[in-house]
Amino acid sequence: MTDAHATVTHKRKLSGVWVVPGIALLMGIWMVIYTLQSQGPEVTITFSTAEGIEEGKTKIKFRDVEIGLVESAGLGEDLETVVVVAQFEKEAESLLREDTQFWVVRPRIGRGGVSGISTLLSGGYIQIAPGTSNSKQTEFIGLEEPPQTPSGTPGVRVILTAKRAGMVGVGDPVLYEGYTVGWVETEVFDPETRTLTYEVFIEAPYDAYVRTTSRFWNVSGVHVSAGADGIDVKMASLEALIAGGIQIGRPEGIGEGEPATNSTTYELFEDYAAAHARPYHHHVEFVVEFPQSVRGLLPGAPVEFRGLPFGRVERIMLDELTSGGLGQNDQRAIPVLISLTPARLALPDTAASVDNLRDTIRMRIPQGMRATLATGNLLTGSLYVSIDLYPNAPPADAERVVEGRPTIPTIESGLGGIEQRISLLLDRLNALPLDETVTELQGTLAGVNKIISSDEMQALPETLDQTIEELRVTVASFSADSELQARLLPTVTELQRTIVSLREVLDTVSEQPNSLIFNREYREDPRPPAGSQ
Amino acid sequence: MSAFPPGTAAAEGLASCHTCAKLSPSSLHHCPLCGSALHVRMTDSLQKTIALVITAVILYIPANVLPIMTTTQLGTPEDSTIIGGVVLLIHHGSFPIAAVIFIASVLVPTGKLIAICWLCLSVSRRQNTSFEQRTKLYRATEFVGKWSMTDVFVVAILVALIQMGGLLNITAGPAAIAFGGVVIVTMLAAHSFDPRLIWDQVETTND
Amino acid sequence: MDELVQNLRIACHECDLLVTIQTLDAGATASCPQCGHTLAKNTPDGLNKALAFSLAAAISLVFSNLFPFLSLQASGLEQVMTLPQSAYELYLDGYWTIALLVMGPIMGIPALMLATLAAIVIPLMRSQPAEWLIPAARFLFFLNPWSMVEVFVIGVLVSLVKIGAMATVILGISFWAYIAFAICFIAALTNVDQTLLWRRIEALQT
Repeated sequence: MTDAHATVTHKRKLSGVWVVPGIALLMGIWMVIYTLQSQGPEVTITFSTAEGIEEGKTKIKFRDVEIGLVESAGLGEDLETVVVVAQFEKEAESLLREDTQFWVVRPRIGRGGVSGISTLLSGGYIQIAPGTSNSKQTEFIGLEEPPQTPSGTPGVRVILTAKRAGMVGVGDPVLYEGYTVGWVETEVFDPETRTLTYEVFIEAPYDAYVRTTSRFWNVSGVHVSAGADGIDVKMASLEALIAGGIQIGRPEGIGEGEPATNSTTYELFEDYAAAHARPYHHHVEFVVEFPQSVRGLLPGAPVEFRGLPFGRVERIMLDELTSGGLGQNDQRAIPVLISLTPARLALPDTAASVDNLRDTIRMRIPQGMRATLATGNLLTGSLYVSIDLYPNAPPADAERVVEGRPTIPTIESGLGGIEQRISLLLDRLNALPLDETVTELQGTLAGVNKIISSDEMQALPETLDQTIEELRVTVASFSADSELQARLLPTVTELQRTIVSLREVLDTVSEQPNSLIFNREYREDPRPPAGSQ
Repeated sequence: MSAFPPGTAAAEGLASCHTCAKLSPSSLHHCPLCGSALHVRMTDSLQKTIALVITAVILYIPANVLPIMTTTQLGTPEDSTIIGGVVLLIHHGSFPIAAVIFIASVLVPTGKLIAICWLCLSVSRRQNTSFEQRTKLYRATEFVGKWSMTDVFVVAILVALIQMGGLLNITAGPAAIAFGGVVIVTMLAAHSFDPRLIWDQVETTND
Repeated sequence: MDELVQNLRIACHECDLLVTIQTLDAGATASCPQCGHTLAKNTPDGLNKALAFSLAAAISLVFSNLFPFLSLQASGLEQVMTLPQSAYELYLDGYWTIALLVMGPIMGIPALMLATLAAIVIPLMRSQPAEWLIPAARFLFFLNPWSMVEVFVIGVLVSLVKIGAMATVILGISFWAYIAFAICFIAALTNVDQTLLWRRIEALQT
């Protein structure tokens, strides 16, 4: 009997090997999810050029840390802009605010200097300056140039107005005591009022130095001024030398005032002098009339009392020259308007000081107080007004008033004095008895001539010849092959021999001094004395 | 007509399909199962093989003479050939890598070509000895063929990776293509050699 | 499997000797008595494994294209490459021949092979004849000698050593994905025996 055939079934089971693709799939999906998760927001930035931007390569950096990558850079719809799409990391999300700024860091040469050179090798990147606003944003317009002041920087922003351009430009530094504390942000020219308006930012903590009474002046380049007080060379700092700059300061004697607030307006002075020109408020005007040339006297030239500047020349009063009120006794006296500042003489800056000064001068005029023109600078020929006491001055009218202003009488000096002295010198030269001296000189010359042409003088050369001849003969007799030599030679040889023998004697004598008298003894070797026993 | 050694398919008038191994009468021109061309022995095997070997040798000259890649460092381009690259690696002290490149790019291709030439020669001379060795040689040659492409892949990777603008830049040279050609042609040459030709010289041992 | 190889008569591809394989158990290999050439190898559960590994290989291959493959860091400069990017850049630089020469055996041909293999194995597993089986099988074995996946891996290692000397090389996710792909790909192929596959096809189609 045969066995029944067993039913053989093959159980279809899923082979364990299917785990493998399962793992592969899981790992792959996990990778994708992880990458997507660590991705931050996608941001669009619009620039005007894609220079320095490369798809897939250009990074976006914050504090030099990569926080994003440019994915694509394509032309905008209007073909006028470049739209850059960048992928940021999750952590960077909080940096994207309404006032966040982006710009491309690439090599730039500008007024402020050279920047971004490292990007020549490493390739450009986009820098972010996160804003502080509360609203978030993902679409931005990128800046073409790095912002002068990244948004959110603490400090104060003031406005400066100037009448003249070309002094400073965007990016130029603002200096305090030569130290850069801020920079010029914007420059706007208003054609109607013909003024330039600069927006200047001063960084914290230096913004505390900017007060309501501060003054700003231009210190670009090297400032050379040649005035009556000499040649002045000023240079603020190397940066200002090259790029231009503005200095903040406060003239002495002016109070601190309040700290400046944003949008306070100031005047931008042309230079240090202009900024410090009128720190004081009270001045008194005088008129001085000079009978001599006032060439070289410029407005702004100092008025000094014995070297102490306490005023300035305002202007030369040409109008008044032509209309009435001419000079003292001289038709050519030129009136010059000067203003004196009592505060400069350490008097308080008040109207009372002004009266004080006026009265004092009026009092001193009879005592000899006069104004003169002095040479301030020999190089440039500029003049200044010097007020001093001249006891020997001729009397003058102290009450004279020109155009409503009191006058100070003048005397000539300085240049005038030189002229005088030259003419004096010329007079003296004139007075010299030149004619007589010349005649005498002629006589002497004639006498000398006579001596030279006399017979004795003529015979001199002949006599001289003879003498020379005799001299020669004598010398010849002393020459090597002469008789004299022949006779001299043996004598000399004899002498030599004598000296040699003499030397021997001297040697002996020195050894045994008594050998002159006794014969030379040869000393025996010393023998020790025998014993006494 | 030369007789095939007994025991072989050819001797019995059968042809084995190269693709599907189905035995069919040798009169058929195509395999009834898979449709591939059917022959008792590959037609003109030696001719084709030698022709391909010559092609490979011709390609081998530019592959070694021309630069396989150009390294531009800070604007100065520097060409390097296959051999040059090996020498450079030795200079740098990377002997194992230099060995790998040398074996893969010099020894293997030349070895293959020499081996194939010798196999062809042995068959044309109707050599009737060392069949097994020659078969083993053939097997080795076929196996090792594709490994010569290592250097080409290395160049491709370096070119793709080292693109740093002005600082360092690697570009591929014409030798890369020539050498790739050498590898492909030698693979084809090994493939066109019919190893059964070796065994056709087996003499029957008379019992 | 036994039915397939019951007294299977084939000629050795290397020496043309007529050989009969009587039985081939799971895990057994049949070789030619004369020249030693491997005639057939019966891998246990071969079809399943082949398909599973093909799927894993395909997934890994896809992922190896998505992420950075290698990145280079030298003196502050960073260069990242992904496989498709590199192919594209090689093409842009005018090296389309090299791009083809490299990307073909690395990605294209293996990908085709995976697809083809799946197209073959699935009908075989379901014992459903399909008209594409024979052309697909021919295509598969035609492509086989031209896939150079393992050579590429060695090539990458050589490059790493070459560059590693002068810069820091970081292996990206795709690098490991590709290694996974290579392993799965080779595993899939070892589970496919040319002779036996054709016997299955023959059994199914006829």
